[in-house]
Amino acid sequence: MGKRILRAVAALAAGAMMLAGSGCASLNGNGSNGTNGTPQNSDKVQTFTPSGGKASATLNIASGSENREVAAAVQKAADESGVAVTLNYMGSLDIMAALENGGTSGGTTYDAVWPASSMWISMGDTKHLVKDAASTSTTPIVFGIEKPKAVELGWADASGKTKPVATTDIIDAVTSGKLKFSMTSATQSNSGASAYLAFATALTGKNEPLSADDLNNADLQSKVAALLKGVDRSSGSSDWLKDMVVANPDRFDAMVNYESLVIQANKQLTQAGHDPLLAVYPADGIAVSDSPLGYVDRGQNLKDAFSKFQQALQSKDSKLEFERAGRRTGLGGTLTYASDAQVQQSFKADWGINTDASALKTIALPAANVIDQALSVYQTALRKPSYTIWVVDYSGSMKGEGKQGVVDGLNAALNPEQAKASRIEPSGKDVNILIPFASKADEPVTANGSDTASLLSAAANRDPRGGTNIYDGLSKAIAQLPSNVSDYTTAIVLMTDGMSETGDRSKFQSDYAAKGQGLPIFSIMFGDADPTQLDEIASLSNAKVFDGRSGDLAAVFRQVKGYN
Amino acid sequence: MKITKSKIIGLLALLVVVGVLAGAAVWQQSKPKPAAPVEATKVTGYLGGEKIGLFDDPQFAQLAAAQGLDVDYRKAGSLAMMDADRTGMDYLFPSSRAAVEYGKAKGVNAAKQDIVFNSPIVLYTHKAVVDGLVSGGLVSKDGETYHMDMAKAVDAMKNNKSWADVGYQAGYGQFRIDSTDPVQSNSGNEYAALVATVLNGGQPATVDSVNRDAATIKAIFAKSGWMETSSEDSFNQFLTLGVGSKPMMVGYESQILDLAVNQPSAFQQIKDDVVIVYPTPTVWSTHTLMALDDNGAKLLDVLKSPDVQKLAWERHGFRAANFAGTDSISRFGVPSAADQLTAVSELPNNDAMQAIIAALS
Repeated sequence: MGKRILRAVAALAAGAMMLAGSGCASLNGNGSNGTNGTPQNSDKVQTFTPSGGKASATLNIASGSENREVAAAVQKAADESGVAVTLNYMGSLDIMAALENGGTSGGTTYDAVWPASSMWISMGDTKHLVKDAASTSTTPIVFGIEKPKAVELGWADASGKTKPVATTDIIDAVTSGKLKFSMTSATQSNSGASAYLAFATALTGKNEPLSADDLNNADLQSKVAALLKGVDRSSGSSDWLKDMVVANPDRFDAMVNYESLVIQANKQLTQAGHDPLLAVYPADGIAVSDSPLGYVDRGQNLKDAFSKFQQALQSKDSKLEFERAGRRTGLGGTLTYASDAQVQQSFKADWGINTDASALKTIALPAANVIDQALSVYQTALRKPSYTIWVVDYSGSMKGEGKQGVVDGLNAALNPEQAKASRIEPSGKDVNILIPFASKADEPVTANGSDTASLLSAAANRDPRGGTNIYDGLSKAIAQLPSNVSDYTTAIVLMTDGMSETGDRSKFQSDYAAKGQGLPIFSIMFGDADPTQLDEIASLSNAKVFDGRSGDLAAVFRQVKGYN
Repeated sequence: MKITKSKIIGLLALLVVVGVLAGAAVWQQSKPKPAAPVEATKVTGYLGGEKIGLFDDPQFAQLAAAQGLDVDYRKAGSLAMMDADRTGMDYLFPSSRAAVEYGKAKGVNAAKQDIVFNSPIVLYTHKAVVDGLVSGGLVSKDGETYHMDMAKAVDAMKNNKSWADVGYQAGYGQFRIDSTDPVQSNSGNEYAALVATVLNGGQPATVDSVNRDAATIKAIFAKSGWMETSSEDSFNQFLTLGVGSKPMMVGYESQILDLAVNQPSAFQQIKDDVVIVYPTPTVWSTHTLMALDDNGAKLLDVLKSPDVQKLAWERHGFRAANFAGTDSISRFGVPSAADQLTAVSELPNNDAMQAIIAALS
């Protein structure tokens, strides 16, 4: 007993010293130290700590990527509740898979889930773990169409006001070549899944929810495939799709995305002097994201902390931030703070935004088993085939763990059995090409369709040795691009663990300018890779860098595959 | 390191603080311990979502704690819970006699069971929709309460009438009433029983009648496509997404009464728009607690106590086993709520219910 008291006193003394220490710091004028009250960013994880001081608890939340845009509301709720939260950004389908897996994925356990739609909780919560799921805000999925294009199609007037357009009319514009659009992958992201299901439903022409028989109908399949040919770029994340369109507005006519992300895009586009995207609401509806936050009860006793945080998200301060970011918080799809000046700056009529609740419509979604079937058919047959060139580092430093990570990663993305679990399995029309490189690039190994075995064994058998020349690898990849890129969703994926020699850099740049056609070069950064070199390539090709330095490299490969 | 005067003062101050704290710690240790609180018995089980408001109510937790219980739950549909893993579970609390029978047929053995609450199955819709349906003749208005003629409604669905055909001009697509998944959740299941009964000319459906009408029943449910597995989620979506997403849904009368009491600001937003429509006939949801062990039986006693029965009515809108609340329904300030239900149908027997589930599986 005496010992315990002494230990307690020692701990108190240490605490007192720490208090004294921080007190000194603030006397020196360093009151805000940057870690409290400011979100800490990384590619996939963002932590919010209460600005008031120490958090009473921390919640680990599996969250849709679109919630990156409501960081201000999350911060306000963390401040008010005294609860810290870590948002792990992932696609809605990954959240569903994590629930099916008991609230964990890739070794991370979650205290709560926050997908874009309740549908993914209902389908994923087969173990009855989710409690108190409640909507945080709503936003409809809309078409954001570049203003001149929307006017040309007769869907908007010069003021920016749009009229509701039937989904079949949008489909006609796409299939006749008048409109191209980008959307997220239906098997990775809620906005893409919702749009795909809406298109298929509209194409049946029956005014009824899609059925299993419809999906087996060859005529419907060919119509959906024809429509998806109009998708000029895909993505695994709604938020990144928005970033991509903003980064290269001249290239993209339109995107299917959340109204809130069309608003965010327009703030950035108009500031840069570009035309805004006009929100076009399909007359028959696509879907509405209801963004539910629910507790995952794994017996971890954080429900009180969860309730505090959930309540704080419903506070006026937090709701205002949701609406300023373009989400609606009133019941029935209305705005709660329509008179707030900053809310008005988001919901602008001259961007086609219609704040009337009647704009929120959803098609009758199919039954759960039909959704499951529809997603499989999308991945294996109806989506635009993908053409992926994997440019992989086999320099000496890749020996051992590095190479094993790459081989595991390629298997996770391309081995049909493994890839199926993440719904990224290759279809019969996909093309995958492996280009190993070290000081120079090897000859390409091509796999057509779903038979990827020889490519995967080539990847496993190549020994790592020599230097790092990513530019020669990329030049070789550009030479492998298909003659008609619009037949495919095409991407180059570069994986490297070191700083590259730069002798071939300018050759690569001129090759890309001449023959790259603006196609994305995604990079996976590993080991001692040089972020500057990779960022340069990403910005050249309007793509992004995935960080594989910490954690599971195979998971990163899977994620990259979800982008095309 | 140079020791300044201020640092010495700081160190002395710190030592004083530590000394005081140490003294306090010793003093704490020397105090007599308070009487050890009785360790509450943990009780957990599967609960239909519409009763979560009651189980999360701090007043309910207090009443249970007074009887030595610490009550927890897992949310599950009334039928789904009969198939779920019951390891470590003390109770099942489905929402109907049909679910209880279904469980028995699946080998669920309740040590003790009793009816705890009753709640009628109702329809929820929006003012614009109900006005349209009144003009179209499916719904009749009596004072502030609305009644849906289920024979006419089922006929309209059977004949693929559109919303416009039945009087709601702004509606898109076919007239439909959304429910939860009838194979997993009770409100959808009882709605299916109601449809089957209406198709049997108003007589409780039988195995023969269900077999005869199976295709029609399936077609009526196919109109909804996606179905939630919990009445709670379904009602939340109805409120959140608005008329364009879910024009009309099947739920429990208690759901809007609970909202009116516990979320007054949310209720303010919707009270002029959302209305209850009582189906004619309707069916009663008989919320029955199945105790799987002694702890579950203790929970049953707590639930049946007058204090909990009063709380369940006044704050959550559950009627007692005798079909009435402890006072008038007008206390909730929901104009379309009615005290008396005259046209109530018997549920089909268990064999017929099984046939309905089989037809819709």
